[in-house]
Formats: sequence, C-alpha cells, structure tokens
Amino acid sequence: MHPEDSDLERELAQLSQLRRRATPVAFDAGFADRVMTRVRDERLGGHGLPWVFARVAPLAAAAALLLAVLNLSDTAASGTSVVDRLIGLPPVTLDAAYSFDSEVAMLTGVDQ
Amino acid sequence: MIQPLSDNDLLLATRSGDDLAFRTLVERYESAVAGVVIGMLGPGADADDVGQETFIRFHRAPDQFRGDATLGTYLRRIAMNLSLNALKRRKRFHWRLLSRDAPASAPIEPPVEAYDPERTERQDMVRWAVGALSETHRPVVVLRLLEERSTSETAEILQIPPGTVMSRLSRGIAELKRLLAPYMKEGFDAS
Repeated sequence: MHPEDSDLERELAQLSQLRRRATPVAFDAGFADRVMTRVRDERLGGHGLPWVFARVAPLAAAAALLLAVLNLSDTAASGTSVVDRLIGLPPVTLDAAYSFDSEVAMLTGVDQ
Repeated sequence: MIQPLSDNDLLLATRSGDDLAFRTLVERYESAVAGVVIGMLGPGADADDVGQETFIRFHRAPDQFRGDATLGTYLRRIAMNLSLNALKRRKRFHWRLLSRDAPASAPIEPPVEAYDPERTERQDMVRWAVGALSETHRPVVVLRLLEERSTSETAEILQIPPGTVMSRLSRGIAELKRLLAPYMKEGFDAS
C-alpha cells in the first residue's frame, strides 16, 4: 500500500469514529408498505400520465397522419386549398353558406 | 429452528411474482438503500421517494440482476444513480429559481443547510459536512465513510476505477477535515 493511502485510511478511520456516534439513518416507518403500495398501483396500470402519454401519443399521431392522407387522396380534385383538404373541410360554396344559414335559423328559431 | 431464506431463494420467488418474497428483500435492504440515499440527499420526502423508486426499478426488471455483484451492491448502485439524478434535478430547479430573478447568474450548488449547533450535540456533524461536499466527492465519501463499503465495492457501485475512488476520497476527506476542524479534536478526545 502506498504511504499516502495508509494516511488516508487512518484519516478515514478517525472520521468513521465520529460517524459511529452519529444517529443512524433510516426511512420513516412503513417504508416497505409504501413500496408495496406502489408495486400494486403499477400492476393495476397506475403508471401515471407520462406512461399513458408515451403509449397513446404514437397511436394518436399515426391515426391523425392516416386520416390526413385519406383526406388528401379523397379530395384531390375538389379545388380547395391543401390545408382545407388536410383537415377535411368541405369546399366553401354559395349553396353551402345558404344551407348553413337555414340550419342556424332552424336551431335558433330566428329567420335570417 | 427456521433458517431465513437466502437472497437467491427470495430472488427466484420475486421473479415468479411472489410479493411476499419481494417485500422481504425490501425489508432486508431498506437500511442499505437508506444509507446511500439519505447520505446523498439528506433526510426527507425526496430521499424516501428515491428509496421507493430504487426498489420499484428492481421489481420491474429483476432479471437484469445477473448476480455479478451482491444484491446489496446492485441495489446501492441503483440508489446512487437515482440519487445523482435527483441532485441534478435539484440543481436545475434551484438554477431556474435563481435565473428568474437574476438571468446572468451562473448555476450554483443547492444551498447546504446552515450548521445548527444543537446538532453537534447529537453527533450529526459528519453527515452535515458530507452534505456540503461536491457532487463528485460526495458519492465516494458516502459509500466509504458513512456506509463503510470497501474501496473495491465503492468502485463497483460507482463504476469507476479503484484509483479514482482513492483520489476522490482523498480530496473529499481533505474537504471534510476543513469543515470539521473545530470538532475533530473534541470527537477523538471523547471517544
């Protein structure tokens, strides 16, 4: 052993002497119960929001992408903008505006 | 007389889903994990949470323990890694709080609890001083001094060479001696 290492060991022993007189450390009572409660929660699927998000988000993103592609392919010749086609908005025509007006009138009972 | 079940028996049972076996392991290694986590983070809810997370990580994948080290060393390693992550989170949190008021200020170590003279009477000065060490020196000092692990086990837990353990320990102890200088003589005389 290097002489410096033995000095270090001696200092460590001196500090350990002080340490042994310190109050022992422990978790609060019932630690094992708290761990087992978390184990049971995990088993029941209680993984928390980040866990749920990590599993649901990729599926939701894939579904949104699929719907957008379907919208684009179904409305290729509609003449509306790409954004409108992506999110599936119908083309805005005079007929559509009139029919919207009559639907509002039926719902509110007010003649436009 | 009934012999207590060995770690290996309890591990096998845990792997097959026996909660009672897992609970026995938690009770057996609770104090080992507490020594690391409380030594690194100080007592409190944070330490309790990291302690629980240590056992939860182990429970999620007990097969990852291949028996290269003892179970105690393996659990201490998880506890130490999680404690270091918790210290980093604390540091980021303190930095964010500080940067809100003073955007130009550099990140600093989380404030160390002020020294309380009453605690000297309870002989907790070593733990107080360990809490004041840097993130580099604290893990080595916690494992070698507070937990009394050997140099090779400390190296195994921290996954660093034994020579690095010795050099960090040397610097850590020099810092401890500086912090404890007023109490060292008294401590040795009284023992």
